[in-house]
Amino acid sequence: MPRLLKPSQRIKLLVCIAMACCLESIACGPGLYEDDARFCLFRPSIIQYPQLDAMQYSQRLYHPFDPDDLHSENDDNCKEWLQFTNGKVKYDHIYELQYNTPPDSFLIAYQTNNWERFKGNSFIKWLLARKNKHALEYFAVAKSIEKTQTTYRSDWGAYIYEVQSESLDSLKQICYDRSQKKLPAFLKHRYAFQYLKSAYYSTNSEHEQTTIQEVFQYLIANSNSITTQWSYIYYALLQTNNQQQAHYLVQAFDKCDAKKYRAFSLLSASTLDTLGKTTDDAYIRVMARAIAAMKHPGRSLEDIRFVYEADPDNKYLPLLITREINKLEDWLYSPEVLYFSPFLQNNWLHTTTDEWYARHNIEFDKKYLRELLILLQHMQQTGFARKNFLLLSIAHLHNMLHEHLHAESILSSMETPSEDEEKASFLLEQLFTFINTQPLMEEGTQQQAALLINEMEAINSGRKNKHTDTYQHELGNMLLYLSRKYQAAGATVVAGLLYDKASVMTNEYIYPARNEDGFYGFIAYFEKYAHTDDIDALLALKHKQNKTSFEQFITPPIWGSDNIYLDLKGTLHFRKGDFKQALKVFENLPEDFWQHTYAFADYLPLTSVSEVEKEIPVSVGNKKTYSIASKKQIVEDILGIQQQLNASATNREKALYTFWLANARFNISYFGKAWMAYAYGKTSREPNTDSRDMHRFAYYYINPNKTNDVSNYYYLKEARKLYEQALQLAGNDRELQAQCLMMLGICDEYQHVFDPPANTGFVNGPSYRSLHFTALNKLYSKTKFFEAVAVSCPDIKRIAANDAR
Amino acid sequence: MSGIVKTVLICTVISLLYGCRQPENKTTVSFYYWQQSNYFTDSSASYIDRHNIRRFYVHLLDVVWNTQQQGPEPIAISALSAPNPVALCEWVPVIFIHNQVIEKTDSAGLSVLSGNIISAARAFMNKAGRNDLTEIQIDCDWTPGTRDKYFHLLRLLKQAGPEIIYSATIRLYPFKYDHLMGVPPVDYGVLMLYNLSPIKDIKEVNSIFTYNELIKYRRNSAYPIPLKPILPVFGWYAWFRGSSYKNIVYAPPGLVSTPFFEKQTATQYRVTGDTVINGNYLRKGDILRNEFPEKNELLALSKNLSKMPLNSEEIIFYHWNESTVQYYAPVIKAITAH
Repeated sequence: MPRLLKPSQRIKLLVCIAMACCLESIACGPGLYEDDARFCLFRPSIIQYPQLDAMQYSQRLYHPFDPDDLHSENDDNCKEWLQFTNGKVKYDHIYELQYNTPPDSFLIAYQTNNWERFKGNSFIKWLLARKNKHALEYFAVAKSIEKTQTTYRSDWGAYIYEVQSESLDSLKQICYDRSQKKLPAFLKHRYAFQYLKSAYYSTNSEHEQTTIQEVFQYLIANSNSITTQWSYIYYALLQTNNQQQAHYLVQAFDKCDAKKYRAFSLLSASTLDTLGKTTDDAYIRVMARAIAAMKHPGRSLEDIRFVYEADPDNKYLPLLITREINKLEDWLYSPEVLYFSPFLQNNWLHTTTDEWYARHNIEFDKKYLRELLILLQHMQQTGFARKNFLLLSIAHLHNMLHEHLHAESILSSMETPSEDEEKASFLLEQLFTFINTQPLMEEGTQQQAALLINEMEAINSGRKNKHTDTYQHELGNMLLYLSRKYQAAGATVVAGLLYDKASVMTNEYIYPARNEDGFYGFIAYFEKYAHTDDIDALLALKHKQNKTSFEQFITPPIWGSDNIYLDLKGTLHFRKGDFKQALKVFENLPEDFWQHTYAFADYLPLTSVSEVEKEIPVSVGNKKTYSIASKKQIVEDILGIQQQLNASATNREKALYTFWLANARFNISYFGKAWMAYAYGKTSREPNTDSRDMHRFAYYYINPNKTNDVSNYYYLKEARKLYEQALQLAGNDRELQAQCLMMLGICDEYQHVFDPPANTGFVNGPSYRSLHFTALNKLYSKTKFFEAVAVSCPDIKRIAANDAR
Repeated sequence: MSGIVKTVLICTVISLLYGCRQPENKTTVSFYYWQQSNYFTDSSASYIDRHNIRRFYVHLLDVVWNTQQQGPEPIAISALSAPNPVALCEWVPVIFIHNQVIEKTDSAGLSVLSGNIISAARAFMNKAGRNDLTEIQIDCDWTPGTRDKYFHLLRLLKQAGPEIIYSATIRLYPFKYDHLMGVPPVDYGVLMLYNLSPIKDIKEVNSIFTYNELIKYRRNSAYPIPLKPILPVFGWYAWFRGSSYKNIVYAPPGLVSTPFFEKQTATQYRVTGDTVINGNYLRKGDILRNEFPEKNELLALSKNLSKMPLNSEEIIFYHWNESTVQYYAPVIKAITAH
């Protein structure tokens, strides 16, 4: 006979068992990388300035793109060398020597004049020609400087504080001297740049300000080489005055695409603010304000207005406008569509102060959206170079304000852009408008939507570059948005299939099936949102022969077996307490379906649901056993008890069968042994899915909506009602009364696991103590049941001892 | 230079000499210096003098694993140089070694690493014009899996520089569970009495330090090697939206006294209007949890160090930051006077 555990101990045990079994649904919340929790429809790539990717809006304070991954500066440098050689060498050989050859490797060859390692390299061959000896000498100096930058050294002490600056100082001097010599301008220029760079890395350059300035002036006056662009950042860093440094960093940002991110990182918001207020240079003032806006995580409308009024053709305006639209999408849509929100997700138990603030901020943001729209409309009237960009921005803001007819009017005034980026944005905006103005359920609307999406996919598939994933993500966001629209319209099948196709992380415990062996992924969405009729519609679509193009579009790459969907349909009936209908569905499944599918065999009981052996240490039910793990046998058992109850003539019989039914209801709840007859997963997090969940990640739980009433599963409503009835009907059967009271006490305490005033989650167990236990001790301590319980249950003993005092 | 300035400078130097080298018979106060370069204000020297600060544990460098070179690499190298207000105090170079370095370095590599650590510490001290390298401190968050290799490195250091004193940082978990984590083979340990609770949990009062949380780590017996306590004199704000953790906001202790914040609990403040703080866009309704340790709690700790049990002859504060040091000045003074 099992020893009765305290409720808190039992909960802990359940958690441990569940964790140990690694049930599919017991998982950590999603790991969020980059901007996974941010919803974005307005495509940042529309600005067509890849070097500004790192300055796009990011929710998480760092950026989705590696600023160095373009390597455009390397390319420019090699091209300049190629030109210097009059195209006599291979570009790849220059690149190899410049960027894939460690300094030591080159320097050893140079010092020993043994070039065997570089055999076949046309650039080395060119350098070794007598007439190119100056270029070879330059390379030796450049590689020597590069060597001083390499941080991996055998002797850290020497590297860190001794050798580095000494050798660098002598190299710096060589560079300066040679920049003054009669050499080809190309080499003189590069020596001058190497001098500037060495001056920055050397710790002994404080007294060379005049020379540094002279060299910088020479560099910017004589060439538009990549080295000139680089020199801005080094010169800026050599300035000792903060404002002077900011002045040149701003220029470095503007003039050197390759060092944009470096300059951007070195400029603080406060420095830019001071610079903007103190400089006499109008160009610097505008740039300072523009860069400050790129750093601002909040509202930057006034910065945009300032930049536009001072310089209507400023090349950074598209970025600033895109950032602002993406911010608004984040603030308004991330909660609504992705459910990463203080109020839409996980607070299904209670309304909170957080919800109030979230709603307040949303209203505030909508007003701001209107202000931004007004500015863009003003820009449209007064003229703005990127006309298509501006029109698409305005249309998007109209759509966000649910002014879809305005958006439609703007889009219809535009010609389809020929350029891919603008065209992709145009199609996306068309879809955004279309699904908000046309009847979603009509076939014509659906076909048109499929057409637009296919066209967008065609553009995406044609561009295999670093943005490919981003394009897919943007399209995914659109599909998710569409899914939410269909769900709101009651089209759960379409919504679910679109959700799976979108493949976007949301804060719901839903993921699509990844292979045919899966189970939960096939029904994850439908378990949460579908009616039983929806499952019929889903199966009908699965088997439909002549699908429309929209149906083909939403059809998943793999379907689950029919039995998986039928199991869900029966379970949805079961959840509603419609056991007869549930049985009808389950009868269509193979007898051993649950024994061999998913984790049912581990979590469906083999003893009758009328028995509560974990709670009461004596058999109190019908003593039935099930031959295998089977929802069908559980339903048959429950229906059998209902029949017995209907046929019973005496109150005593009625009391007993009602008690058994109550036990069945208890067992198919979150707390009972047959919880998997009702749910597909279980986690210790479920009691914490209210607004106080610290990390707000989605864990498995059954969220209440029109299809799911969780009052029985989490709150034991029906079980408690039946125990009360049984208690009343029991008459003078004190043994049964005691059992009812015991179970009422357990239900009472469990209910408080989900009740906020007493909710302490699983870690500490429910702190609430039920008065039913006190009544049990006072009134039924002489029953055989109580004596049996008191022997094995320390909790009851404790209550008895306390009450005796 | 005017005569007055000269006189003031001379007096300052004399007082520093006196302050740093003539301790009275009370608790010695030391600080960690975790900035990479000179970060002092005009008042630093007099503060150091007034509080009898004798020693600075100076962060010299971090050792990380260089995946390209497949070897340990020094980064975040200190550029602290003389003259500065701490020049006349003792310096103990501190080297933070990422656990991954220990995990990935073989025994031959550990031997090279030990030589490099000593070499770097000597070069650093020489560069700063000092020839008094008497001690090196190693900071490493070792695990049971890296314990043996980490301890081997510590022994290698002693072999490579037997004249040097070695100390090691010890977090509270290894302090409490030395039977699981082992005891580092060093001359003494420094116990980090902070970072006690999960910052992401809104239910926490202060993730950096509360006395109640700390005493959970109390031991029944003395730790096998001598220990000096490190007390936190730093803080930040934990930022929450809808009870969900968002970020750490770095700002001074007085931030929440401004009208942008409304006190909710002892440590929680509600943001009353949208504002940007250090690049973080705080929205109306967000919560900032003040994580600067309570002064009274630090005082309570200092009075009860023997209960941990810990020796309190030298108390080290983490870390030297002019504004927070000023904020905690009364506490530091009171602790010094114990």
